[in-house]
Amino acid sequence: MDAILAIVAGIVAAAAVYLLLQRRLLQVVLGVALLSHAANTVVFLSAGLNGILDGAHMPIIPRGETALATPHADPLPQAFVLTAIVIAFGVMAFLIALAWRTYMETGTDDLSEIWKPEEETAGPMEGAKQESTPPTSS
Amino acid sequence: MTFDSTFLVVAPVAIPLITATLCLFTARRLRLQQLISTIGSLILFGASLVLLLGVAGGEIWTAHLSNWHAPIGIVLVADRLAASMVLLTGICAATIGFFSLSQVAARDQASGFHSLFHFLMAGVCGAFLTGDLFNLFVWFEVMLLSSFVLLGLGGGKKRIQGAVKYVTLNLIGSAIFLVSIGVLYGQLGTLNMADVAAKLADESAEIHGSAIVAVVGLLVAFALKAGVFPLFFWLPASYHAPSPATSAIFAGLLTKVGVYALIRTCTLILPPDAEVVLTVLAWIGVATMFIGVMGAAVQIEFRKVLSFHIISQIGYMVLGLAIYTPLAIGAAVYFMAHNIIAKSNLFLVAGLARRIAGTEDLKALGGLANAKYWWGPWIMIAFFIPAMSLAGLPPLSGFFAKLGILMGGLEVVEQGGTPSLDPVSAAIAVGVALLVGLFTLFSMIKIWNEAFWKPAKQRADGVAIGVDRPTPVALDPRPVPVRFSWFVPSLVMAGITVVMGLFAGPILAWYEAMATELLTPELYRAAVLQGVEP
Amino acid sequence: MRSIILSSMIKALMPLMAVASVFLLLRGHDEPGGGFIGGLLLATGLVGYAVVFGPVAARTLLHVTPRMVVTIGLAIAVISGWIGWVIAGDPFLTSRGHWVTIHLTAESYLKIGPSLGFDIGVYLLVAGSVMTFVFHMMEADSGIEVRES
Repeated sequence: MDAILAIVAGIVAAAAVYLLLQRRLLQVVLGVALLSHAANTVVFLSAGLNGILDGAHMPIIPRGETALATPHADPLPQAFVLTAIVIAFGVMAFLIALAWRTYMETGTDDLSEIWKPEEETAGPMEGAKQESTPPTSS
Repeated sequence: MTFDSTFLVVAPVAIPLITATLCLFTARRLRLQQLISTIGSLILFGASLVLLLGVAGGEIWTAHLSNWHAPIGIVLVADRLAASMVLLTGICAATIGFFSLSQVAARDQASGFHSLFHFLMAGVCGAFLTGDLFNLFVWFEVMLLSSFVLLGLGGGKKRIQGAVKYVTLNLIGSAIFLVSIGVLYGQLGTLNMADVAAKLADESAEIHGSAIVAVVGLLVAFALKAGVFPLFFWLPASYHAPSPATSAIFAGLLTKVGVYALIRTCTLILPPDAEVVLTVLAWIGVATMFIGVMGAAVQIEFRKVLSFHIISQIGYMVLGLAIYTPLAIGAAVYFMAHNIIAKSNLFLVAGLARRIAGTEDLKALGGLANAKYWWGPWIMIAFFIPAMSLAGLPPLSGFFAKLGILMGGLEVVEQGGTPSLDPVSAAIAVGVALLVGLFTLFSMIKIWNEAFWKPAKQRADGVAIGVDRPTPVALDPRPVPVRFSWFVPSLVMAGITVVMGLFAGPILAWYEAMATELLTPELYRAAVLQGVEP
Repeated sequence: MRSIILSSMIKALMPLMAVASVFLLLRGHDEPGGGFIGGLLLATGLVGYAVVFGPVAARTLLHVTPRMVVTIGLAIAVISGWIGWVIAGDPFLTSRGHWVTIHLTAESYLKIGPSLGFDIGVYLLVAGSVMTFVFHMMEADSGIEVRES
């Protein structure tokens, strides 16, 4: 079980790196998502899952008992993974929104277009013109 | 209800969280929100001051969250290093918070600037105080998420460009951090920093090599967040883009959290036989210093110059850490303290210059040294003190910070080297540090000449562009008169820089004592793992 | 997305999902479940409603803004963290020793304590933030369609 999941994490990470190196923003976003999945898998693995196939118990105290049945899986990494998933979820929501905003602002999904430097001939009033949208009433 | 040490350790995290929540509740009423935000920052400052005074004598205070004891539960630890960083956070929260009231667009303030600001403060304080690696990850993410939104707040192509790079690189850093945490837990079965340190230092136990690899992975992740060579390029791409108040917090605090985590990991967790890591860090520090200052030399935008200088100064801190003597580490932490104040302040001044003159381009700026207006001298003072401190001119704080690190390096040369650093490398590092100091002075003089003393460009009708009339930049379509309150945060920070320089002797001695304590990690372990069987 | 089957399904399913989410939330202390998964389920129901009837209808149904849900959730979570401290001076987030068991019938009981409060906070926060995000994206999406046509 450990070995299989480790290989899976490796493959996912490789796919993530491939996507991260693409020019399109959407693929980069997906790459970041896959990378966090790979990382989560590694954390999940740290519990040592080999025991599970050998009949280890869930780390939940059954109703009416007072202690865990041994052997049981380590519950802590699962808590870590849950936290990490929640965080990754929040980050993804933000990233997708950012990608959307980027597309709206620049009209392109191509990162080399997005990062093309703006014209260097900005006069002193340029910045003001560019950014002064009238403030909405607060 | 007891206001004991446990309460004081939790307070710097809890106060900003409460403030942020209250700010969200009052989202519709800007004035009230501003009031709550200011009061929250002041309380945070007060609490952090009390915390520092409490642990100043060398005690280590802990708070076992939800009464679960270490190493199982999450523990917050306030030693001198953490408490002094929290105090600096409190100072930044109070000054930059005040600055933001007048210098962040009302629209952005109404759409959540203040609550994000306090979430960021909670993340920063949490990262400084936590004694648990996974919890550190969580605080890093709290910090990152709020900084992502702050960075994108207000929109505009420049901000989006910066945000994309910043977000992607930092998320890759987070993934590396998380993988390292997973491997470390798999090997050691604990993530409490003190417990990890105890298990790694235990020579009788057999440690698998992958645990060491995981520790190095942690260092890589922290180095990325600190903006160290060769992982720095997200920093100059993004720090100049957001509103000046936001970039001042970023510049002052965010990278320093990375450096703090590096210091904590190297002194506490890194096993004693892994000197090669310190050797590598020393060279990385030298490269970071040099590359940063070279990058700054070619920039012509106020905040971009300053952004590259952040990198260069992170290099000094990393070098100080890598020299690994009490004097050098103490000086590195003093450097961090000096840099948090001076660098944030310079970003504030850059924001004021932009507000008054309407541009940040050093070619277009000019004539800020202006006796015609009452604000001329004030903005000059506000810039000159932190800039010269950064350049390392005595008697300001930056001089003593650099002096401490150089003396640490020369000590190594004198003693004929340490296990991690041979005398020749130390001598080279000291030489580069001196050279970089010179270039820093060059950059600061460049800004000083271009923005302040060069005559302002004239319009066709003879009016000096920008300077004769404050220009609205992204804040308000109508020009508003320059107010003295704009300069107060900068002047307060400049005052702190001067005081830190004047009392450099006692402060450096205190930091050196702190570093001695850091280099005896048994103290930290004992304080955290009180009453726990090894 | 107007479809008779989907819209009548979602009308029946959404209240069910909301009830199930509360069940998951309350069950989370002794058995699998909890605030996060409950909140996700609640949000799924409402997002389904928004997919069928549009985000505006979903907002009307909700009465408060999703952002306010987040805020209230956050406030409940932070406040419940301090309960132990107010009562007994315990560290932040302590719930050990502050549980109250209410016996409803002979067999069923309800355990109430600070960590339930924290979980309710998480529940609202997760549901609120998912809705904030999804509604926002849906509105942005429909906005662009209007502009293009």
